[in-house]
Amino acid sequence: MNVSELNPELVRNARIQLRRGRMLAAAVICVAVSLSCAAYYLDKSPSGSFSAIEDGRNLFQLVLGLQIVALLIGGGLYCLQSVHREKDLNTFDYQRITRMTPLELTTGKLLGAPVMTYFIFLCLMPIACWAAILGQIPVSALLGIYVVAILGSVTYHALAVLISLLLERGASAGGVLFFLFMVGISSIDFSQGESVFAIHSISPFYAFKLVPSRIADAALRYQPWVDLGLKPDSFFGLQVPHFWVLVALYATLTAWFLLACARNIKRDPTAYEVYSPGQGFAFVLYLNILLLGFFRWVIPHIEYMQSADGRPSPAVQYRPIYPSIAEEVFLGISLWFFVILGLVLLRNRDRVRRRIREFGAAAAGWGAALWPAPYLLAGAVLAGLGIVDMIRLRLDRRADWNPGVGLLEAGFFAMWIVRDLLYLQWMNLRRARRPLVTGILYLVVFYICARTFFYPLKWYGPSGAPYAAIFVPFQAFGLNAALFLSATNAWIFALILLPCEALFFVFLQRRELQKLLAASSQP
Amino acid sequence: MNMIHMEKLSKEYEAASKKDWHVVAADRLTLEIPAGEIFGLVGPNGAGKTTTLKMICGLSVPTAGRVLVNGIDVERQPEEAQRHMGYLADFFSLYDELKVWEYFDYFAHAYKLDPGAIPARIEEVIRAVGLESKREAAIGGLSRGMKQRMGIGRAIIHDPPLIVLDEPAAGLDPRARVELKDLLRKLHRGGKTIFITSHILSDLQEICTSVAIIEKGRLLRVGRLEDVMGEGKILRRIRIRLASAEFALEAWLAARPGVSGIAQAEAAVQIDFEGDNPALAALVRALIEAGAPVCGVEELTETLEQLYSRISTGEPT
Repeated sequence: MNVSELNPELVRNARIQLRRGRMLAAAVICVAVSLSCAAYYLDKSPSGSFSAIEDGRNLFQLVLGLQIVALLIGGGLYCLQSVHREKDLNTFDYQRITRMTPLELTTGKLLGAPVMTYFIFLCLMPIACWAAILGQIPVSALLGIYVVAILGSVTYHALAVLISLLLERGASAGGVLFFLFMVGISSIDFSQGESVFAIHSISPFYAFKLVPSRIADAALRYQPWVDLGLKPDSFFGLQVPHFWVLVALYATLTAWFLLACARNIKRDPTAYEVYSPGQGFAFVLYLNILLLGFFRWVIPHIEYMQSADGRPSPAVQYRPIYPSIAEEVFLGISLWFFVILGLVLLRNRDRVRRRIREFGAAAAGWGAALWPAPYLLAGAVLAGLGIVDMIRLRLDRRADWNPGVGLLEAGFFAMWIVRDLLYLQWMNLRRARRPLVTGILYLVVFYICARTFFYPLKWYGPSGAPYAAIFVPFQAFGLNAALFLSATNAWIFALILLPCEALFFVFLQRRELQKLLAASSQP
Repeated sequence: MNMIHMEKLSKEYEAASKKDWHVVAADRLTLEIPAGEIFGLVGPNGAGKTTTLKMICGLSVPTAGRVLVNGIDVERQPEEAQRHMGYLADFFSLYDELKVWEYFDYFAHAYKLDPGAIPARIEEVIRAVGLESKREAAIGGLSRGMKQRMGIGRAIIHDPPLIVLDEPAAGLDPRARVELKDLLRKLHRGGKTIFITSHILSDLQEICTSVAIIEKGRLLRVGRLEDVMGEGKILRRIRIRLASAEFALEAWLAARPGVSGIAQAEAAVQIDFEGDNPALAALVRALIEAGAPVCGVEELTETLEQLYSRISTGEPT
């Protein structure tokens, strides 16, 4: 079997990047780096001593860091160029009209674009293995470390290919920044432990934590490598080692990213649709399930304890989260998932024209004017019910919260998303140069102005909050029973008004649809 | 059998970067191109040529209408339709780091050719585009003309019956243009249908069998080249040259039926003549019998460039 038959795109990338001269240059640099690291170790460590093991592990961590940086960041940057650069060079259309399947083309780019970084990764393996032997790192631990490093990098590469596919011309810097931001927030603990989520421990840099330390050694020798995930995670109460959580996350997220790439890579870029409505809905539910499943239900915070020598030392303490705060935090994060879903679902004029061509007047009727409300409403209601039910099951009942109040808050959440996305959908159908960007800008201006006017109206207090929620529904977040009881009728009135606002945008959207229908039927 | 069948093909879009942001790049184009033609699409920049080509290739989704290539609906079965076509874009790049044979090898595999037949096919294509001596060369070192031939080689690697070329002569020197025309004629003789756009109308006039003139997304003229060139033309422009000026040619011609628009043009007289070839032969015979020292008679044909200019500016035929 010819090597090109495997995947032509993968082979093309390998042929371009793995030329003899380039490979030699990369190998020489890796050897030089390896020798420098080894010399540093030999200079520092008396052989056979206890600190030699520690130094071996330190050296391993240093090399592992280099490997992960090369593979994750270097490979990610290559992947960010993989489609975007082809579009710039006008070579992408030629790939689109070949008979390569979308998945074949995507995997060719996913594995082919960073092929040089895989080679560098391999070139650093001898020194890494030597350091692992010196550090007496068990083979099982080594396997776990590299599974996390490689699988995690592939997941981020898949995200980078997707970003590259969706980037418009001249926006490559934005793509790089976004990618680095995603790597950053999933690698660095900005909250220093004071967060209800451990999002910083999902990047391949988590492999560092799998390098056994001297203290953990004793436990390590008697535990199978599957328990390397140090602190187990809790998923809906089920204890799962973090290692397996990472493997599952990497596999599922890679699948989601690949699905989006393969769905669009051979399409006309003006007709990209990241996911179908059903897939988008499923993706948001998946994210919400992760959010709900891994919710910690405690708030970690740093407390300074008096140590034996009388000096205060910091320690992470946990206290149960208040139900209203739990709901507020969950909905606040979940909101972004629905905003992304909403933006993915929005139809532009071109898509509506094609729908009118396909479905006729039905594509411009009242049903069509409700778009994208049905998916958003269904998803937001499910997410709201999920958090209310989880609070009911996991947290102690308190006087200031009950499921009824929780559901009211979830209702505000759902209607808020629906109203604003219906507004953006209407804006996106208007004849303007950049209708969606304009719509988002107007929305931001609206929220700033609204919040400014709330001050003189004194709508920040408990009595004014329901009136403020008519315009800015997140005023209802953190709603508790006392607040609700102080203005029951006003809260219910506010919730009823929100669908009316949404219907106003449905009406406006239908007007735009009718205009497009009329234009399409002109001779 | 039509190789391309377009039916009310339209493309509208909002171009954020343009002043006139609502663009109708193709306006209900209906066109049929039989197999075996070299079909030229002529129009100014922004007329919708590239958009039309991209819709034919399934690279751009039409707002309305449909395209069939070799009887296959491009929008519904893009991958099946793309088996039947090769495409070369107007501004294109190759992979400069690859060798010539590696480039063809990549696309041969990408088009899922029979792996056993690929080496022979690569050699065949390299020969067809005249790059035998550059087989092992890196693409980055090739001249523009050679790169253009590489592009055409890529378009024919899977032996499609239709080749779609967008401005293939752009940026080529005269010699490379001649080579390109020869290559296209060779492909045409080999049974390929060629759909081509170009700004160099003299080249199109030389090689095309049919043409269409497009402007602002609308087709102004379509048909066989000779039909389009002669469309609406009643009068033939004839130039008669005499060896000496002694004969009163203008006066003689003025009395003849079917002759009008007599004008002195340097050492000759130019007339508009209404009649077929036997009528023209009779006129010339009568002129000689009348004693005129005729040393030349030629029919002045309009070039495609003149025709295009006339049509696009709305001059009467």
